[in-house]
Amino acid sequence: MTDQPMLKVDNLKKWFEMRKGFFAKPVYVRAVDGVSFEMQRGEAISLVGESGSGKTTLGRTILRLLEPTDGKLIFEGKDITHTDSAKLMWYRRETGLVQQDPFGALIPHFTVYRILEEPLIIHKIGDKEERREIVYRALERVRLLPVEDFAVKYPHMLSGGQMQRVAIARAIILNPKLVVADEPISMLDASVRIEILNLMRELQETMRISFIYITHDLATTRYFSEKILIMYAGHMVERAPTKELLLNPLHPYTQALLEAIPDPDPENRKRFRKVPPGEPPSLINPPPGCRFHPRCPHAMDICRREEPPEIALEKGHYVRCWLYGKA
Amino acid sequence: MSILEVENLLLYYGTRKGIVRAVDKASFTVDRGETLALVGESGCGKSSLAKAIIRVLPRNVHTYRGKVVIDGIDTMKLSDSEHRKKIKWKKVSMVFQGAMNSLNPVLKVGYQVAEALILHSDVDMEEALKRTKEVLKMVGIHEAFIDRYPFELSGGMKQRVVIAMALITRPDIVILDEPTSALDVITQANIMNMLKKLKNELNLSFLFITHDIPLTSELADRVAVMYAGEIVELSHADDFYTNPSHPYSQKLIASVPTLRSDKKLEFIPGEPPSLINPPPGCRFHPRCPHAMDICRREEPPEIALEKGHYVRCWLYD
Repeated sequence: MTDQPMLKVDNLKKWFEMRKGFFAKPVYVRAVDGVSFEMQRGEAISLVGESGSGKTTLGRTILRLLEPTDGKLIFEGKDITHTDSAKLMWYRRETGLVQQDPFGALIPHFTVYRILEEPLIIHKIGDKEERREIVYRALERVRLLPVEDFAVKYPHMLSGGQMQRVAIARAIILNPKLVVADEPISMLDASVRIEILNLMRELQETMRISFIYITHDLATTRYFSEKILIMYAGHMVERAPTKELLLNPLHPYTQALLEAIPDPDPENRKRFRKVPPGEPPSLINPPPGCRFHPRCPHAMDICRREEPPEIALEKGHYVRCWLYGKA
Repeated sequence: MSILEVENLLLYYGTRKGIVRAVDKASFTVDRGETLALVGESGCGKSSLAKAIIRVLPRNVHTYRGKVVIDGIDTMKLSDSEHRKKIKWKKVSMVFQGAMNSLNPVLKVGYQVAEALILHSDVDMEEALKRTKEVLKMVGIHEAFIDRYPFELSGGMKQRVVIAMALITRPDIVILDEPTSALDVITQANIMNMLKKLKNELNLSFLFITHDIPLTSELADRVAVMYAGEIVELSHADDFYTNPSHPYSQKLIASVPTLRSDKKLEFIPGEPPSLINPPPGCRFHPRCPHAMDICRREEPPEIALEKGHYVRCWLYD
């Protein structure tokens, strides 16, 4: 094998059209606006951003549940940017999705067995006996034991953590190479979260599945991923290996994000956090130049005028900020 | 002096499946100017405890008894109408979970903030307007927003408005139920900064309810941990995060991912029990690594370890 990346995302854009009236000119919500990165087989990366940063849209576009507006999406050398979805069945087998809300993601009148058998039927895999084997093996992998007991249950009979295990089992049942997990633990209780993260980590190692872990919670990323990508208002503002990014955040937005997150420490109550005021901009009319400049403590003249390019620094660290040099 | 005293408070709900023991024998105090954080997982009864304190109860209450003393007044002895006149919103107010999404979309922000004041005290319109401006300023919202509608506000600003509603009657203690749960982390940090400022400047007491343990350390002077309807540990913030005593607290802290230090994360096997049929003895015993014989048979009493530090666990007997 050459070192060609499994997934290549190049200047990817996804804009949504919005009309404010029948004759009005359409406006665009620039949810993802020029994102580039690469991913290897078996790698786990975290995609971090606040609500409205475009992280979910990016995840769904990568899975080709949405068609990109512009840019390129290349999976194992094949350009799938605009491939008709009828011709993407093979890509559906290679990918999986775990959604945030396990309560809404599982069909309520299907048993766990039926939920897991569904993708096998759609992709015409095996006969009845073989499918049973595959479903049971998937349940074993996500540790819903004994499998015979769980197979006949309906979603409402499961706890949140168990439901999320079923959702993960469904995402991996076709032996995919890439799974996008969109906030998979944010609706679960603290004591269960770690179990689910550990499980995904284990599947990443044993099945060599690449994971894109979408989250707003930087604290969990260090336990899961090798790399972190930070998104702000549709842009990817910084990306770096996990430890490097957490120890040495460069973009003022990443710095603010890290400053905002408390660790359990009784000293916290005695100090104020130095975080920027305001909230992320509208994606319809994002500010010119750097999108963070209205909130940035270091904003310079150029930040208000020109969009910063992505600047490559050492140790695989990339940042889109004028503080780190000129184009 | 304590502004809030809760003793042996019980709140049970009657349902078709049986009696739900949402709050069982809760006892604690909150001093003036102090913040007590109430942490626990979903369904442990922390919101029910808050509702029992401010007496906002659903219809299916089965048992509601115990002692709730607010600013020296034994509120359980008051009738509903007396309670409404003297206690609710005057002495204790509450920021309900998700309240920012329940603002009335067709009423101006200023009116919605002033409403509590107009309903609960005899103030004229001029005074109400003055107080509304004052309280909006306290929460960091420009007075021009009095004439805006909720849709013109961002999430963080709506949350500030909801906090302003709880402050306008100048209560002694404010209950905050997950006040930042739907907000982004930077906005959350801004709101926490504001709450710290209010706590310092107004000498206000908070009962801060959340499932987010790191977040409690932003505000709490003391921490109460709830499990399956019971308060299992009550401790000073200075000890709690580094040296929790109850096995459940220990596991809970060990399960919290930290940003700045490496540690091995643990999880708690199993699920919290049903509140209809809680296990006999200590309710945590089926999941406890130290469970002994007595834990399965007898409910542990509240054991005082030192001043202000209580734990319900047979290990400390």
